[in-house]
Amino acid sequence: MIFNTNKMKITKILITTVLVTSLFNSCEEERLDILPVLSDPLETVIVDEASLNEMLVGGYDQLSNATVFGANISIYGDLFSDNTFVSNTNDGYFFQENALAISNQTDLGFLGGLYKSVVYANIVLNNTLQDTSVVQNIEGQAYAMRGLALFYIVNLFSSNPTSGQYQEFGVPVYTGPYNPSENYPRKSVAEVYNQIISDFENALANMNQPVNNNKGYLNPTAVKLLLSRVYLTRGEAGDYQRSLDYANEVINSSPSQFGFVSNENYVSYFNASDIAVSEDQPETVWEINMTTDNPGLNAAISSFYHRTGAHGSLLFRQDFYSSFNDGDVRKSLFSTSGAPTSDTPLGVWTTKWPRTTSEGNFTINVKILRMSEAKLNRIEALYHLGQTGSALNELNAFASSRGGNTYSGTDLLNDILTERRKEFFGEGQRFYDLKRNNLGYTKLTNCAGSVCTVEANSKWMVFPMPENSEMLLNPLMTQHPLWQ
Amino acid sequence: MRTRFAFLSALFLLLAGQVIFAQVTGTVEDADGFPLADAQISVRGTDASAVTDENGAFSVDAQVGDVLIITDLMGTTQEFNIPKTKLGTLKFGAPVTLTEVTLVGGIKMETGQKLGANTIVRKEDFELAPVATIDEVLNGRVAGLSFSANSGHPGGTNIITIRGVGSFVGTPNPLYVIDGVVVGKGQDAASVLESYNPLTSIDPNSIETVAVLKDASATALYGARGANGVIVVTTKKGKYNQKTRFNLSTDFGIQDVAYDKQDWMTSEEFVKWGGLTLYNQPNYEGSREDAVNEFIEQSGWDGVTNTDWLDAVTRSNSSVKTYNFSATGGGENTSFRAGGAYTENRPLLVNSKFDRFSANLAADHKVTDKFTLGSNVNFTHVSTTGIDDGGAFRNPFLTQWTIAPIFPVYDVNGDYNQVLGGQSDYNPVGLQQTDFQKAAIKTFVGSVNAELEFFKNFYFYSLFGTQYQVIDETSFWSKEHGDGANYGGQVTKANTQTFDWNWSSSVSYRNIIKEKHDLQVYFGTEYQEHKYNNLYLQAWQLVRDEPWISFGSTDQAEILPSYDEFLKWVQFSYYGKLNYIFDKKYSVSATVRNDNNSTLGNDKSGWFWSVGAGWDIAKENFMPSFLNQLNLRASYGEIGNVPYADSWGSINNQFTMAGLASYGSDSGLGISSIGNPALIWESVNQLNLGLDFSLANNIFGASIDVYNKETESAIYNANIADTSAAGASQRNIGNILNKGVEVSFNLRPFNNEFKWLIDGNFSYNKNTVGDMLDPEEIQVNSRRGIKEGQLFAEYYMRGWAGVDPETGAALFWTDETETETTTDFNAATPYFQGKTPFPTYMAGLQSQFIYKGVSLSLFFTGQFDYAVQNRWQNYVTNDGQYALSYYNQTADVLYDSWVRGEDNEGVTNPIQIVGNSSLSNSPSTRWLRDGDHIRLKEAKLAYTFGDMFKKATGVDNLTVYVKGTNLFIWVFDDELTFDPEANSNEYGGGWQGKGLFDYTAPIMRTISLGVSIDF
Repeated sequence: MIFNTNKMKITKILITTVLVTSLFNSCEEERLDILPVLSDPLETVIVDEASLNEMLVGGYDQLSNATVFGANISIYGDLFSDNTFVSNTNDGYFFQENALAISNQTDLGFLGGLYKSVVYANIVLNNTLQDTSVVQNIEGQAYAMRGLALFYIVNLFSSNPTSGQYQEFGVPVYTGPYNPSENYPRKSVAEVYNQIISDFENALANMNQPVNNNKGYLNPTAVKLLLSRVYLTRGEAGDYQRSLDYANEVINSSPSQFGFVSNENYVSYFNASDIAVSEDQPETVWEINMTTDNPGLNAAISSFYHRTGAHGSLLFRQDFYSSFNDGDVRKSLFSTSGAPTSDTPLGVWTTKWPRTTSEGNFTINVKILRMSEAKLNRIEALYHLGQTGSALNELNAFASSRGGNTYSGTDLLNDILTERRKEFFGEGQRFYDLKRNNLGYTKLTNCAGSVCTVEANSKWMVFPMPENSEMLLNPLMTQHPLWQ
Repeated sequence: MRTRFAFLSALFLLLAGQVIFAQVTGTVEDADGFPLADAQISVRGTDASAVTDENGAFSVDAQVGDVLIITDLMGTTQEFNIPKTKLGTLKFGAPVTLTEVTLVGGIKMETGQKLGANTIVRKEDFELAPVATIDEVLNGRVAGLSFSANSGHPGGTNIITIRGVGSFVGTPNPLYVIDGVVVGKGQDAASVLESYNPLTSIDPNSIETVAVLKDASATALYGARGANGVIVVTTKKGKYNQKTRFNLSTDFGIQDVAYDKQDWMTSEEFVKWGGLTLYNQPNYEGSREDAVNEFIEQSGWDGVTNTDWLDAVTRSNSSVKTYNFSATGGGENTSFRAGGAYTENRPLLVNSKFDRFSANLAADHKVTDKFTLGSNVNFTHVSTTGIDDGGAFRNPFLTQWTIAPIFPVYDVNGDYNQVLGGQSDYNPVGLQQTDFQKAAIKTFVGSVNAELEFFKNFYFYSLFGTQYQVIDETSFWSKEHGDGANYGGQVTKANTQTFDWNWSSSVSYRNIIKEKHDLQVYFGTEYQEHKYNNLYLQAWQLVRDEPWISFGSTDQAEILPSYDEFLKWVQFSYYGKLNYIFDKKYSVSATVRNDNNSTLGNDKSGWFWSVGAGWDIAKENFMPSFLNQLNLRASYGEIGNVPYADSWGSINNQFTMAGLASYGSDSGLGISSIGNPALIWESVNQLNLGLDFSLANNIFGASIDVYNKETESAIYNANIADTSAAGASQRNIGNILNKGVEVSFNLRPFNNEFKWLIDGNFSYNKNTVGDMLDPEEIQVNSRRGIKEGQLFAEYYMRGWAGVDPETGAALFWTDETETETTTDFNAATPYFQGKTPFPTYMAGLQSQFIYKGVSLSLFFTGQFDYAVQNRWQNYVTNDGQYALSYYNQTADVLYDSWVRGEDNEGVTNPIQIVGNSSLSNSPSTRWLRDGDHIRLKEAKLAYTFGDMFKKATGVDNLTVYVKGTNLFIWVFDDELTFDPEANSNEYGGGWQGKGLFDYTAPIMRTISLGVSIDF
């Protein structure tokens, strides 16, 4: 065999060159810059009015979570009061809350949920877009969202402003762009209320025209109604008058899509599965929009309240049910049939939250704010302003309009709150009504656990900062003194 | 790839001319004096080769002065000089030689001398094992490797740790490499099934060896992905110049639950207990009997029904059958192995199944003496029908407690009874008949490689490997009952395709200079790309109650959203390796690797390295001859880890991302992942010292390794405080320490016609949390805490202090001082319990007796000093909280609990009272159990027919055997009622699921019969 050695050398050099280049040419830096297909870096997404509005909608999505306004805030407002209890026939949901088995290990989920909406509002408010009227209106809603979230947070995690108790233990307030690695300390209760009021005022100043045109979105009427409640809660000099003024504004000068529900429509306004009757109604000031998978069938409010709900176990106490007279239209929103026999005395179901809608197998929009509250806020403000005569008259007028019992006024504040209780049962107002007025409550029957009487301004009226999801992670956070 | 290629050129010999080849003959015996059949004989520097016959005899073209290279079936290689043409008997296997395992870029794991800590498990342990995945076989066979199963359903994921857990997030599993294809870490790939282990695609029968790399010296070559250890799987191959041979084998096994001591109440007991919960009410006025009658009336028990709900949904016989076929052979330049296998498993639950068909082909070809090609391809099809597990109401194993025996399966009309207390509407027998969760998984794993000696002693090696997996999953809920009834029937379909490929190449210089200096230098590159495509469809309100999306409601408002997703991450790397051995006695090696990984923060680059040294003391003249082997070695290295990437979780960390969100019918934007631009690799720094010795003709040999392994800047998906907007992002939060000792040994007390072979291993590992960014922070997960200075995943819970005999109230320690008790669960603070779900000590022991054709082997494994918990114990023993939900209880609470008005001194369980809200049943140390156990993992009795039979039939080999797997378990905690090797599927294979019994499919005991024929 004869070989051409020159040819072989050239071949070898060629092969070597090819091999060595192939070894090193596959690796380029830009190959490492991979972004996901379904999302974009946060700092680049807000580019126009449409995307700014989408971020705002994202904030509503957070508010609509089951742990926030989608279900639990409404549920807790009744469960942490004398209204509802968890049946002995249950599958474990709300069981510990029912027994007031709360410790600083307990995480009820709404702290994180509410602050998420604060963050979304902050992202919207820190936009760098040109200041058009559309941008202003979006910002107005973001202010409203932040004010609303902070108002609920401070109500849940701090002592009442008029309690004179632990007023330096407010909740964190921050307004800058999103920074997940920053921690925030508590501010004083007064500072938080200043922020809430300033946010709501900014909201009103910016919301000239509605951007998202249904009751699922915060609007000037909602902000005014909230302001009337905020001032009623803060109770500083002049606040009750301001509360009265804002309530009057809601009652008298709301736009045409707002109005009071009639007695004939009252029951179907709540329990009709036909959404034409029950959703986006004049009576509704703000509600949480619901679709098939939001927040998911099993976590929806009706899942717990409705007799046929997957976790149906929340019942009203007999004594409360019996306090309605038969002519009271609101009594029709109860159902005594099918109550679990394991409870003594038997509980009563409500039909306020229908299991399905005409649109499909999901829960009805969750009503959070209603026009009728303005009337009751007005009455409560009148009471605090010392105008007890007007307060009693208007209270009895309100009760009569529902066909309910009228009041003597010997214990007027209690009467006012009783009427609120009858109006808003199942809508999560009771806890805040009592707390705002520095009152406690007694679970007369069906009391699980050892605490059946909750004293005013006791630790059961304030929630502990959850150990695992807050205290251990935020070195700047301090536990509320009632829970230390 | 094995080194069968010449160091000298055949061409050179031809040019030199006038070389006369002769037949060199001989017989090869193994270390035990038995003929070594099927060993490959090759001659260094020529392409001559041969294979030994059944007597170990061979004949090969060679000449005096050549060097013979003999490679046995294990891949073990040994060289012999040729002083004469009739060699007589060559003793193979002594001294101990090394199995060749090829790592990245054609680099061999060990050259000449062992430098690192690694263990090789061979094909005998994999063949016909009644398991779905190869990782299960490693259990107990590798010192320092801990195994536990997330589900006993075949193909479920497992948790495997090597030398403890080194990461806070992601799977703690090692990296798997199959014939050069980087296939990931056995992470869950399913979207509908509870979990699917991608390693299920590897047929255990096709495996030749599995090398488990533990220390830095070898794993450094895998750089950023090697920190948890690396498992290098080499599949079987053919040999050159071998007549084609066939193997047929089959195994048939019967299975039952390996360990379950939960003593459930009968109906009689259940109503007695229910009555007790009424009777214990302080104001109850009637007698205990009255209370029982009241409870019977309330529950609606007919006085007769006593349903065993598990029995109602399980088969009388669970079985597994395996059929395996292979052909191997080779010509002068080409060798091949073709194999196929079929496994048919009918697990415990009615209608559940697991079928696997696999085919594989390996081929090697010598183009010239200097240019070789190789290829391995493997295709697998799995079809599996599983269950929803964990807390799903439809989990049939959960129904052991979610439904009391007082309820009948069928109502009076013969329909499924749906009045089932707390589980009403979820009749498990009905659900098991109509509803299902199934998947078809097709996997292709293939690689091609080539090596070329392009100048003398200069080599180029390149390997392209790819893995493609398609998972088609369907879940169906009939509208008849259960969840499906709420939705008018629901069907979910998911299609997941993953495509991974890697291409690694190297150039090397390898030479032995003057017979004393063995030098190897490699430079190489590697590129990896991983892609994931997922399509997820769902429909409800089915027009027809059948599992097809097309039957879903077409009503606009009832159309469920569908989803798709595409993910991708890449890594490219440069590496270099130097090996130098002087005089076959002193070795050093060094590795350096630079990785660039797309999933990290702003800085995506990392440097990893290791150095190792070894001294083969037995080769020194001053050593006495009874020492067959004495080898000292040391290595240190820093290796990287990206713990989250293999689970496809958060692979974009540079930025906080905003994606689609919706509110009502409006679409919006939401924060989809929280980024961390500062995220860097976590790095594992490991020191390993080792000693191997062998004495007295190899009667006793052992390896001892001690190591200190520190993970720096370990990544954690750290929770963000609620007030900063709850969520989590990947952060480098601290260090994890692992220190330990591993011993493996072999003993051959008898090694003649009667053999007794003992192999064992023992390991100790202490896994603690080192310095943390925030020393006070405690990250809590399933009652395990991560805190500086504590054990890794140490139980962090309230301490149970027994029962107050006066009141029956549960007592808890107020704090870790355990000095004061309280009856208020909330007033007690949780504290660290000094125990973790990971064993501190592990051991494995195999004892094999061989006499003539009969062999008996027993294999025991043990894990010690760890604790486990039942995720649902507060329901299973609910102290009356759910008495009226009719959740069944274990019988102990009826016979050993506080009873009103009786003498209650020394009772174990507190007052059982209806609607109990004292939280006495809440998770505390009351439910913590020692997991310590010894398991008879495998027992096998085999008979191989002798020469007479072989000659009479022409069959080369015939073996029959009977084998038991997970035959027996001894536990040390009397109250441990569930399998201590079972985990939860809930945490995606992370450490959080470890030791958390979750009523997933149970771990099985198998007894099987098998036969294997070679012809």
